[in-house]
Amino acid sequence: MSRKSLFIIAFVFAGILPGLFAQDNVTPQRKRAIDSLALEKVRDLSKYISIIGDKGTSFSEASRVIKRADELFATGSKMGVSTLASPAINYFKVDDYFKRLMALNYIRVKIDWYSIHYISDLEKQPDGKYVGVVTIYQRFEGYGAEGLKYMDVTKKDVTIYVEKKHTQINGKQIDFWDVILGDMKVTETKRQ
Amino acid sequence: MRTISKNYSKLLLAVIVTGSILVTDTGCKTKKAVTKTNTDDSQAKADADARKKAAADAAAKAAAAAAAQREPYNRVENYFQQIANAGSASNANPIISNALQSFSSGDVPVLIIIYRSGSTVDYDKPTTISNYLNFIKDQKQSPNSVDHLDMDSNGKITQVVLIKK
Repeated sequence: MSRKSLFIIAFVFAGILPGLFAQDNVTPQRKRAIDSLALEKVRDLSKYISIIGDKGTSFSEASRVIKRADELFATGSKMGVSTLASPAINYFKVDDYFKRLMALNYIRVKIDWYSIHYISDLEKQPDGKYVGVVTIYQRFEGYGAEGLKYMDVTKKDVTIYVEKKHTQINGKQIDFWDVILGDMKVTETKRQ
Repeated sequence: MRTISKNYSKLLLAVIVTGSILVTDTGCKTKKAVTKTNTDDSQAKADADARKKAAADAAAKAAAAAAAQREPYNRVENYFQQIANAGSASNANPIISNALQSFSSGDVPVLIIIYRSGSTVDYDKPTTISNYLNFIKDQKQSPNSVDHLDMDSNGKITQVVLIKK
């Protein structure tokens, strides 16, 4: 191979490689945007759960919201459910959990999530995905005809996976961050 | 003595006539100059006025064009706010139906920029306008503003790019 050919190859690589590395160059500001995006998905889920549990929500609206909530989870993800009456924690597939939530035997249900925060920051894994854990506190209130019938506060941890994906939209390649939630584990249940 | 006086009279007359001519001529010249200056000033003022009017017309046209270009953006932003503030699903749904009239279909892609710096642009997972409007209804807030709209020849929106507020 002549010196001229070597020079051309080196020149071409010098042009391509920085572009390839730039795609993976996640600056602190960029990382903050990804952290924030992932946390927002958990907050979105919080609103969806509140809507699904609300007895005032119509069946069609609840069904639509269940679909949206379902899309936030990895296929086969499970949701932990606990009660004050038993130390056992039951795990349901998220779709089944949402349907059970919609059918709870109360006149009124109020579900609030609060103190949503990372307990384990999103960290890049060898496969390129980012993985972190977020904790949430859920206050559940179930009302009967006589008023408040059941109430508890549950602490739950959810694993979050963030992965860079590509899609074509109107002929243009779009790079996006896909945030997927994994199993939601109950770590504590208390009266207040 | 008489001759001197006569000559003096003649000289005086000549001086007066010459002076008069000079004064008259100078007066005419001044008048001409003033008239010319007045004409020039009027022309300059007319030109300046015309330039001002042309500039004002161009600015008004540019403002109207900018407003026309901005109109769909404002319309979409208004719909987002109305849906977020609707208070209930039953109030929000008719607004969503109205809003969808502005789009070529409910499947119009919506891209949400979560980070932008130079040529690096990161997006959230793309969605559709129908799902996005329902998302605003569910979350009761409009967390993104319109960054860019693509339109078709019928004035319908064919793609939406949003950016985090």
